[in-house]
Amino acid sequence: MSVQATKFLNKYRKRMDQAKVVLFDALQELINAVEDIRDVTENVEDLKIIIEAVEYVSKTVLKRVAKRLEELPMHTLRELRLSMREVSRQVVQGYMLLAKIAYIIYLTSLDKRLLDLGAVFYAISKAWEQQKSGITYIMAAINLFQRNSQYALAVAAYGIKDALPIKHYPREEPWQCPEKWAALLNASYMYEIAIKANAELLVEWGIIEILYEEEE
Amino acid sequence: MSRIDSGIKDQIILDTNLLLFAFVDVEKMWSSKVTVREKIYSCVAKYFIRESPIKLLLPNFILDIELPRILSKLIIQKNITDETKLKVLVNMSKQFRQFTQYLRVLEKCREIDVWKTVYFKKAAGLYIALSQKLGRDKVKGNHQDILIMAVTMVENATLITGDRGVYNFAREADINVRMIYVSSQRKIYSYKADPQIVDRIEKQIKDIG
Repeated sequence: MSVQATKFLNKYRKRMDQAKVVLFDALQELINAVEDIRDVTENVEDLKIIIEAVEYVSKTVLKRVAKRLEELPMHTLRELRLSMREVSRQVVQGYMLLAKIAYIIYLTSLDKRLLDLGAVFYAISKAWEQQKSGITYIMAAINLFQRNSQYALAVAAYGIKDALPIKHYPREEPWQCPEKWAALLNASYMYEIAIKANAELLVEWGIIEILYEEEE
Repeated sequence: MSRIDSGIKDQIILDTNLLLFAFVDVEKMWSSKVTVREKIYSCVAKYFIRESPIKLLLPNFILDIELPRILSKLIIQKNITDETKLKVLVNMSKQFRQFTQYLRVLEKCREIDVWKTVYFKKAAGLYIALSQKLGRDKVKGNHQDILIMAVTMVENATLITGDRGVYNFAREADINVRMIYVSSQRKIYSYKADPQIVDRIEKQIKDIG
């Protein structure tokens, strides 16, 4: 952390109250956003309403949080952004690893729930990598997962579609055809995680050389 | 909803050797066990999976027979008896199918049921034509390749192969099929194929090392 405590205190001692208000306001906005998303994902059946609610939270609440944080001293804000980037990098790596582990365990059991879970981990990492509003869709997806995993994957895919490697977007909206949107996330997860894990296993076990002979 | 439009509307069939590396991505692997050829195959196969709106056609003959045949061969040849390894390898071949299932739902690919008279009629005709032009001995034992070529012709698709023999068949016998041969030397040979597709493949593989 390059923000030094004493330096910060000395420079902004007269604006501490203001900074405190900013932080608590931002926190309250975030708490409200989390509660709104939880409320809609727990109580609403209609996927269209769920997505509209998430979209509203992304466009309004998160913008308000960002705007409130801009009231922090400029230097602090800059350091905050740099730190967040570093945190994001580690979160991305962590969730990619979890996505890979879920896939490897799936290979020993063929339990389809592990594939869906891996796809959610993958979506979380893509949302952090993207650093846009995708993270609110992921929050909704996590809440929805136990109730309806296809809805969860569809919402996640819709929220982070720009970050997915497979750009063959369904023509239908997610509430019209959640199966296709879930497949978009699943296929991207296969493309970016599963087929690399397959290769690692085959190379490590010395099987690739036999494949090569096969083609000769 | 917008799509990335490459401007190419063709349908593609990946030969077994390339399709396998769509499910086993070695493109960015740094291992002495992986050759440039395999990296090229992975790169090309992945390109056709992610590129829209090119449609991938998957003959079930390759998915259900050819790929499991390769995996079963390597399990036996490598003398794999460890329970977990065996489970993983057997399930991996099922996962290939799961991946194609997602692509099918997305309408990115279409599975072709090869067990239909139209394909076998075409294949039988091709077998006779090839035998007459190249000699029966040269064609004998290549029925899988001829069947895939027949499916490609009936579906009016382009076959991408890493097998020089298949490419030579088509060229030497002047068969009316669109085909691209991806060589291990990074050279692309086209036979009646859309130059745009050839160009795209060349661009994809130029930096593979």
